[in-house]
Amino acid sequence: MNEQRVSSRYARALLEIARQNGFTEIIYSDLKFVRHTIEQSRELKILTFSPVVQFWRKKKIYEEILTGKVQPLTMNFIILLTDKRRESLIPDICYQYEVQYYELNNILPIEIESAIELSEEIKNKITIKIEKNTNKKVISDFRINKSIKGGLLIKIQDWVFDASLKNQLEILFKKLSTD
Amino acid sequence: MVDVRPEEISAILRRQLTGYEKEADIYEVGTVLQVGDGVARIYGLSKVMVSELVEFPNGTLGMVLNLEEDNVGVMLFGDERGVKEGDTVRRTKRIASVPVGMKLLGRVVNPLGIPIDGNGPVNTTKSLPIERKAPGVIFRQPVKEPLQTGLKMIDALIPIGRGQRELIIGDRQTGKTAIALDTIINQKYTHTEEAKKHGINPVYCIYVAIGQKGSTVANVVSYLKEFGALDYTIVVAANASDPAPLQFIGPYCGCSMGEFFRDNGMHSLVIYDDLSKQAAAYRQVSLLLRRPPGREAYPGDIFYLHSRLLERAAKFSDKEGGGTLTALPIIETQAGDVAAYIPTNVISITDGQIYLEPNLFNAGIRPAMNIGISVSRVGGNAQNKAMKKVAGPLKLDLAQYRELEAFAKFGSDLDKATLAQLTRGARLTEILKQKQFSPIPVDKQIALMWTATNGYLDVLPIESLVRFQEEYFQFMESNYNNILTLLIEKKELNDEVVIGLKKAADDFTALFKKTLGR
Repeated sequence: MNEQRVSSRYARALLEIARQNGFTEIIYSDLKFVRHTIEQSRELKILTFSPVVQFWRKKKIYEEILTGKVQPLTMNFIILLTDKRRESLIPDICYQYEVQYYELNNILPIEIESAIELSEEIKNKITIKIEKNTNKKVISDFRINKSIKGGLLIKIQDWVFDASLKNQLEILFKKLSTD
Repeated sequence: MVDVRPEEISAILRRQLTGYEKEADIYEVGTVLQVGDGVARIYGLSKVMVSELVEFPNGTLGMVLNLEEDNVGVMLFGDERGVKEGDTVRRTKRIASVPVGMKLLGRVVNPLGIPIDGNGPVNTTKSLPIERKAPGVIFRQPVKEPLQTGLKMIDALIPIGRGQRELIIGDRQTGKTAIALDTIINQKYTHTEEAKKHGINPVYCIYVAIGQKGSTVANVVSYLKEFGALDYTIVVAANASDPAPLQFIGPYCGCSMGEFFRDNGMHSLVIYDDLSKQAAAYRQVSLLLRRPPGREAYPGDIFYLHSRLLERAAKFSDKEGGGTLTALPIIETQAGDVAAYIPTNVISITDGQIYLEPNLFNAGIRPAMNIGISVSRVGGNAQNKAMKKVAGPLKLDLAQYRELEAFAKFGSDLDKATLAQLTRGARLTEILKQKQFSPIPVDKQIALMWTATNGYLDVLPIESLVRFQEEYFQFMESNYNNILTLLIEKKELNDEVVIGLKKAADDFTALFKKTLGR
């Protein structure tokens, strides 16, 4: 998620082609799968970022892993990236594609952290409330984070809606320790 | 013993702590991509403003300098240890600013306004942004009041006015800081009741030390304290060990503190010691942020760095309260090279320069000012009439002396007129010498210059002039105090004063000559 300049351009081009053919969503899930696969496997991650391994060797490996599991368009795109020696940007490009796909479809990805597992009812309530306020379709990612101690922490892009116990304790600490 | 019930205690606690529990806190964040050498690159923070402060998890503050396509360049004001990749950075929505006000006087603070003298917190109520726009044309008026430095050489030949920007330039160890310190110490007079009676407004001083040794700054502070000058002075110190970003913002912070006085119709003097180190600090930050280097590896906006700072020195119009901010920037040259990048820049920005030379310093002429190439472009208007009148012949005599100086070696082979010029010049040069930390009030300066330019010293041996000066001042104080008072009040050389000065000079030289033989 570090690189933007190059990866956003590749992602935009891919999104454009996918839109013309009408399967932006399939490519989206493909790329999510690719990113997930690379992140999950340590060996594949090292291979992707390694400057030592020859690009044609990498190409063969990607082909073997991904053929049949993703669309031919996605496969071709990965091959193209490898040919252009941009394979180290694959995770970044996947991420940028996701960002642009969300923007295109008016989707807002959010992260919700809580100290304990929330019930489905509360989860729905939160999602509906945010959808109402932002006028966007919300994809929520619920996570458990024990360190916030209690309450909620909602991350919407650069914004943080912090209603966690940890933050309140920090504020209290600051107020008591200064002046 | 009366017990306090536990319920009561918890009730009090609850009452004291209410209001702290907020429903929720909304803030914006970014993620640290890279950190090192005092700068960090942040991903996210998409709405952040330039020169906004951001907060790192370890409490360190940073200032946003670069807004780029995919990241934000931030310089860190504190310790970068403890900041790591992936850390969350928070927006503060505050533009970098410093506390200002009278309560800062007498204190030593760092560029963020945090006291570093161990005398407790500074309870100021106001703060100003460090980067402020310089006042426009309609807010200003020409410089017209003098800023007395207490140094004969400067007050007579290169007068400085309130609201002026006068550069002090010279190699290391030529007495640049000494001039600045003497000027601060001489402002003590402006804070007295007597000065108030004569319509002289107090001048508040700000000494900004940039990239200096901690021991040097401690020395300066102790001198100021010793001479009772710390009470009306703020010392802003960004020492050599502080991060480069702090050294870079130091002058702006000092300037904002001075602007508080200027904007409220008061007078302030800000000394930037020295701007070459600030330029070096800015170069460091710029290069680390990958801005392209230019001449001497300084970034392209290095001229603007100094011009926008020095433009903030001003004399406000009477409608705006008539406050002033005088700037005395200091530049250290390397082996007398004034044609280097930073010196030429600052020379062209300021309203004149005081040029100090190691040769003169070693020859015992202190302040080691080269009178020939030092200038003050606006200070002349501010000089008081009496001083202007005595300074005229003084400048002429010195200029002629400089031309003839080369012939001085021929000794007796010279004609009478040349010899007279040489005698006069040598005595004037001697009389303009001055020890550090001994500022002389302007009335006494005028009286002394008058005797010197009217030939009273020509008959005396050069070695006796130091003693002459001392005893002459004592003599004037005890016998002709009325003349000195007249000089302060009337500020001009009218007949009454001239007759008085002539009588005093006649009387004293007669007395003084008698002591010479012994």
